[in-house]
Amino acid sequence: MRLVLPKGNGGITPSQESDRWALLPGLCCQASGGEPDLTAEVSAAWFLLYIAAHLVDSVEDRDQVDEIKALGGPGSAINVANGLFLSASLVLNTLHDQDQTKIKPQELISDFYNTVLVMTSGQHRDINDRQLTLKQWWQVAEAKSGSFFSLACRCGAQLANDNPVKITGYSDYGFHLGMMLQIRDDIEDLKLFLESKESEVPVNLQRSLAVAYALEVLPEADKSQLKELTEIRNHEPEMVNRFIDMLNQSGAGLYMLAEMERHYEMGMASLKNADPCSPAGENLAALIRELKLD
Amino acid sequence: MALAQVVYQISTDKDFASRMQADPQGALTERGWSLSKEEIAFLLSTLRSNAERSEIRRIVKPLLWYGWR
Repeated sequence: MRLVLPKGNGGITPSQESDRWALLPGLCCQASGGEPDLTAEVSAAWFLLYIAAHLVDSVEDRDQVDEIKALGGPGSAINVANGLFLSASLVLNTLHDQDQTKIKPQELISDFYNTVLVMTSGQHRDINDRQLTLKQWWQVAEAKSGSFFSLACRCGAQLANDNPVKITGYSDYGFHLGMMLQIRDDIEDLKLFLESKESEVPVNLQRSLAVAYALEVLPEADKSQLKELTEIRNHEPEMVNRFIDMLNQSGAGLYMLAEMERHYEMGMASLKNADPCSPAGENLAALIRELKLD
Repeated sequence: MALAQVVYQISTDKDFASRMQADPQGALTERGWSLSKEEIAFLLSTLRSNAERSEIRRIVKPLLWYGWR
């Protein structure tokens, strides 16, 4: 896949495809006063890692996504993901040939590897802990998504300038955008559960944000009941309705909306701190705005 | 996790929900809870604009896939 980086003043309209996230380093670089072409390598490496992480995540979660089927099944998908991880590493090595950037290539490369390690630890916890507490859910979300999207924005800004206010601002913007994506991802799983026509429940309800929240706040008797409902394996309408009613009564929906709003506001505030006004900044604002739930 | 506790109280106690809308700082202090000004603002804006939308089925309905795919 060819990455199309934003040219000129960054006044492009972000697409709705997942490859739009590959524009994050370029847009943050441009909003920081740099040329987006400086980010070709980091954008490519980040996007390769993004696809690889998605494939591994889908296999480990046993998601029945089209990409896995098209690649020939879970085994083949893991092979492809390994190839993508190594390809990203090879692309990052080419940074050593660059001499026009504000940051040492080795620092950028180390940042990438450290972030991937953090992501991997988050994924490990996600698949090994049967039920996540609310605190654990946020820790996993920060490790898997917040840190990775923060990296995309931070490395773009670092290639353009060494102003710590700007770098922190874009890094924080990326973090909150990643957290919003993780919340949406979780809510999408609930949608999959509710709209499934299959007899088997297709998602692990025990690791969802809504359930983690409800188990944090409900009285003990209700917690036991909810835990039983999360273990249902047959998609019986009556059980599904009881499960959703319990979540609604606990305020799980309001909590998720409030957290989405909180991360949106914090992401926008970070963006304003880093970049009060620029066409590229406007596009970054549009990218986070489209994730809102209303 | 204070935000979670406050959301639960709002969802299960109508008096507390009304009190939060009228005097959020006072309502929180009475319970010994503390939220940042930003968290209170997020919560109240969500509460005021999404009273019905906060039902799970309403939240998920319009969603298209955006996330990691």
